[in-house]
Amino acid sequence: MSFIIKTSTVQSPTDEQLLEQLRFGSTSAFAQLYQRYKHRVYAYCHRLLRDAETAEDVVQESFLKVHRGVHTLRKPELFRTWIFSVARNEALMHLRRTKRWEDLGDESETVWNEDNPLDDVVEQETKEIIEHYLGLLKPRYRDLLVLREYEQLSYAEIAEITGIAESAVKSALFKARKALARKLEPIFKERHI
Amino acid sequence: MTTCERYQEKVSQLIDNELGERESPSLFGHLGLCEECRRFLQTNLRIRSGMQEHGPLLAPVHLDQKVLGTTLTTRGLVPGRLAIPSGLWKRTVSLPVSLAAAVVVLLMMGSIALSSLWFGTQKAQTELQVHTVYVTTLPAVEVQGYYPQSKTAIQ
Repeated sequence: MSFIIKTSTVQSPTDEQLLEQLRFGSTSAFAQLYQRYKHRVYAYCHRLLRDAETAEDVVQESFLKVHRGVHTLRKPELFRTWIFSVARNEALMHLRRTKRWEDLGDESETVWNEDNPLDDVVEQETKEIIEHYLGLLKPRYRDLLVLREYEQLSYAEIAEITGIAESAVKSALFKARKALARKLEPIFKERHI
Repeated sequence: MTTCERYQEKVSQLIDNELGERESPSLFGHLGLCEECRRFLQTNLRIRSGMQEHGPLLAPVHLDQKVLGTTLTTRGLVPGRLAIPSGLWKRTVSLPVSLAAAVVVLLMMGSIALSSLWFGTQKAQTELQVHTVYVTTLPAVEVQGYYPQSKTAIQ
């Protein structure tokens, strides 16, 4: 006796297809897009703003803008970068309001946002120390590192989201890494990591 | 920028998998000689793995209600207008419903008129073909046997 097992694969719709449906007013398409991106957008906002509650508000506002502005998106294939760009603008607006994004146009060599004494972190786990120092970077550097390290976006995508040149992304990432490495190298050495 | 800083910038690109193939040999050559730049690479790789130790940062469940609840009550479309996406140039045009209905009716009438014209032409062509076949068909004569003198088969 033999059995034939029929399997069928249901392919989930692409972002472009969902956007097309959303343009017709499909609420289900919007819900699917939201479910697809909510964790990534939330994580990005949380790491950039360093506050869960504010991150929630920013994510809510960002998705509302996506819903309202879907007709303005000329290239649906760039939805992923667009949603990050919308969320980033919302987060920056919030940081400006609270004066935490003090230097959007600041070209000074300073990478750190505030003093960061080593004593505060010696008892923490390595991953927490890294997160701690990441949080102390100026938002413009933290923003790029989060997009690169956590979201694993390419330089071109980061440039698209942030509106700066790829070469500037490259050099800012280097500066941020250099500053982080200078702080973390002694800790790694001490812990034999 | 010193020589090492230039190479460390390349290390940063290497970590990101964004370093050009042409630049790799010189960087690896330098890394073989320079301990400071090697340390920079190692430290950054440790930072990366430390960042990846963190589990994914998930959005809280109640955010669904906040976002979907808000957007479902605010519909994006202009009331009384129908969004029609055009497949040809991937743009959405917005028309009043009455105008869209008129366009549909016109299209239907046009297609009926065209189809009657098309089938009329088809019928005429079929009749013409029948006549042509009738004229060119000739009776086929088949002769089979042996010619008595040369014994050559004729077919």
